[in-house]
Amino acid sequence: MIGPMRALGVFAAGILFAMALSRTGFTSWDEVHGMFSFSDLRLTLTFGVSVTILAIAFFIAKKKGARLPTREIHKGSILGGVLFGLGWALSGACPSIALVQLGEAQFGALWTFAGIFAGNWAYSVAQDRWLKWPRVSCDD
Amino acid sequence: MEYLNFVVGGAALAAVVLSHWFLAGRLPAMSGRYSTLIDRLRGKKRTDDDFDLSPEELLEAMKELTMEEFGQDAMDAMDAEGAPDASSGGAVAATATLTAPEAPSLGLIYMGGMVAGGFLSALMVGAVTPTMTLNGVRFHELFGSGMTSVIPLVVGGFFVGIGTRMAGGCTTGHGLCGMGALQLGSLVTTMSFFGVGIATALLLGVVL
Repeated sequence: MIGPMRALGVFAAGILFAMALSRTGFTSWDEVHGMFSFSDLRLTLTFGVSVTILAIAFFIAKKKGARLPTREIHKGSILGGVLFGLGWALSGACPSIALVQLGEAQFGALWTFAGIFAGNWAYSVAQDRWLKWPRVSCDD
Repeated sequence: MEYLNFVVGGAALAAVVLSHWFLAGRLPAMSGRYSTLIDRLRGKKRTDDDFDLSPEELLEAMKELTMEEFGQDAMDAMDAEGAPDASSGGAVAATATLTAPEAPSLGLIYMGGMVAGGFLSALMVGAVTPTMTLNGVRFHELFGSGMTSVIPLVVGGFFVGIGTRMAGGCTTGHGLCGMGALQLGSLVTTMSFFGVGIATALLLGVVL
């Protein structure tokens, strides 16, 4: 099964990521609302700085032969994004954030988590039975 | 509560994403982990099109299978010949159909890490103030403080669940990593969710 070092690495990665999301304010409904309603540009700029640094790092990594994820446009790219944007602005959470909020003792996130879980499940059923759109995942 | 300014915060987020590469052997993505878990609960076997192992993980899994099937002798023989490195594992990923029992459990460990990290962060700044809804002045202004404030969470969460699975990723996978890797699909999805997020937030201010 999983080696203990591997499990530990994954656990540590989760902790670090959660702490960064929490300390930048992405776990605060008010901060996220401020980002979307332009009343506070701090999070928007945080996101921009982060993507810029990553773009430079990935550019260098690619030159050194690293395999980077590829994300092509597919049937669900726009509609999926639209539904996600609506949900994020309402709940103030994306799939990662709901878990971090739980850790911060914002227990309302349990509802968000349940909603995300149900939505993901519902789509997977709809997808198998009716839509038959190509399955895509961010996990490569 | 004081949050990091955007330069330090942005750098911290980027650093964490990159450290993830080394600690977990892959770039971070969360919605896919929900999907993996749900597929497992639905009793679906994973197939090639949504194979989520990194080459390193795949190599590890294949070594374990070899060990089970052929015993230590085969492993020694393979070591003597020189084990394939991770880059050749990528080629194997295109053809192999093996289910990976460790993927869902690793996902759960990661999710546990996220919860633990949230707790540590709140503890660090002395801001563990348990609430049955969410903290936030504006949040309660808009949605009240009782059970009504739960509605946007459940309904919003449901849309997040559908949308992220349909788009094949969320803020991390598309927004940070996909955009960082300059991928067109991620740009389209990110622009969609940011655009609609802005419209929704502005509309909330008007309607409520």
